[in-house]
Amino acid sequence: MARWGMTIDLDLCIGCEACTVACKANNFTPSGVSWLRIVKDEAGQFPNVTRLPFPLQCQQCAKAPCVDVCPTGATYVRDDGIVAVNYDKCVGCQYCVLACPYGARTFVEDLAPYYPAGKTEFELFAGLLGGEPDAATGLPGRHQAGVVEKCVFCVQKIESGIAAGLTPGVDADATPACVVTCIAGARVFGDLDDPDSAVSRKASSSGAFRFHEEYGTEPNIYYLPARQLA
Amino acid sequence: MPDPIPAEQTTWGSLVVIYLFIAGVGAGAYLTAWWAERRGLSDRVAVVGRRLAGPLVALGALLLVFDLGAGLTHPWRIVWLYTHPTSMMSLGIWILSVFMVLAVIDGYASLVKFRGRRLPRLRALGTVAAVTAVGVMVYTGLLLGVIGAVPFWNNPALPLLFLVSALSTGMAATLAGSVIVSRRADGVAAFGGLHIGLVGTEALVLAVLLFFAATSHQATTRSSFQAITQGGLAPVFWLGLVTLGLAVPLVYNLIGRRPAGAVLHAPVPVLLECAAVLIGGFLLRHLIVAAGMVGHGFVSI
Repeated sequence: MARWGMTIDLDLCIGCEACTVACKANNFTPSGVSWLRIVKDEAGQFPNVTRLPFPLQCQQCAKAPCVDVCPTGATYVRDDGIVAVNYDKCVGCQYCVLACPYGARTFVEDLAPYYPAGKTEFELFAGLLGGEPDAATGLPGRHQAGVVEKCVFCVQKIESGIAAGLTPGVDADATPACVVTCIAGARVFGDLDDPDSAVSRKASSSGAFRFHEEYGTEPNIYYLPARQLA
Repeated sequence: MPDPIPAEQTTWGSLVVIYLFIAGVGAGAYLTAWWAERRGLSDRVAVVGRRLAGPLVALGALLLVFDLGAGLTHPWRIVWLYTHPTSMMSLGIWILSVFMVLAVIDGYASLVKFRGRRLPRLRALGTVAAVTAVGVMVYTGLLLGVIGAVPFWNNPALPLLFLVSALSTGMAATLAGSVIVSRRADGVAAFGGLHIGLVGTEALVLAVLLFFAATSHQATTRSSFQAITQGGLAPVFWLGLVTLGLAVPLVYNLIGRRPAGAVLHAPVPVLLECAAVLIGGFLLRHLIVAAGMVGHGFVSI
């Protein structure tokens, strides 16, 4: 069994938010919900300052605090390392939202249209695709009001890709949307248990770190540091 | 390091505060009754406390269901809450449910007649209910206390604080109920010494908790402390909790123990003092939850 992971090279990321948009377009997240975001950090002292984009989403922790606190078992770690949510078991207590130290979970209050005038073409299209639950995963393609959502590494793409004989991380149709769309090639996806995969090599390169390693959450997302300014 | 970045999270609100408070009062009322009965302090107080406990905890549980995002739209999912007792919430709901059933039986079974006789009260059932009552009180603190992502809550003083607060508010609700039912306040004085101990302990534990927060290496925890003592929560803290909820009951009970303080044991002063304790206990829960939210969902890079 693979252990899916990602590396994000902060030295390559330009903060264009293409990943944010690709995530929305692929997962049809409701109004007000984004499974990933780019935190715009700052560094340096005036006048030598810079903005540092920091892509942030569910870190797919092996020891996920959200899984520990979930009272219903709706959130669980899959055998392939992906932290998933079974909406049909979620009661919407939001205990996981409190427990996640990365602010990566969002409670879906309602499924209101993006704009007051009614649904956009995008939402109508999303509704068509999202009518029926994915039997295998109970995951994206559809959304529910009153439950908590998060990034699931586009698990539906991974599963349908593998079923079609594709390799996640190599073939675009089997790889998370944010990775495929990244114009800078800052994101690499693949099997962390395979030492020869591109993601494993990047994750074990010098300087690679996991976000807030001190929390002991053991994420499956690794970051590579931005070069220091002179 | 830069300022923390807001993540715009929906977080726990006032229904959770009310739920934690009511659950604590219900469990505290039961223990007050249990103590009053075992010590022979006052039969009336014991009856009122037993009758209050079950319905109060049931009301709290009902509020919890209303607060769940999917509690009203998909109520059958509540069954799943009993399936993962490794989660503090699931474990707490088990304890709460067991206590609720036992408290209702102990409080109301004697009203039921079976073959012309009233059902007996079982001493063992009362003991188990008292143990689960302590469980409920500690649970309301541990529910918050196990959240590592909110370091302001994540310390052992919090469950202790909520335990003591549940005991003092439960006692206040029971004594007030007893005075209201009987329009007499005799027997209440017997609880004065206990009350001084509880309020004093509560103030002490609260001070310890705030000391932890003030000296924390976590910036968000220090800002929780700031919010309580100097920021937006400060008026509620100093006037509502410290003055009304702690100082007034403490002074009342200290004076009440003196011979000259007998006048305080009339029904109206007793009711006012109980109200002060209950308001203080509610504000305590509100302040702790609200202060924990300060900076939550902010991710420091």
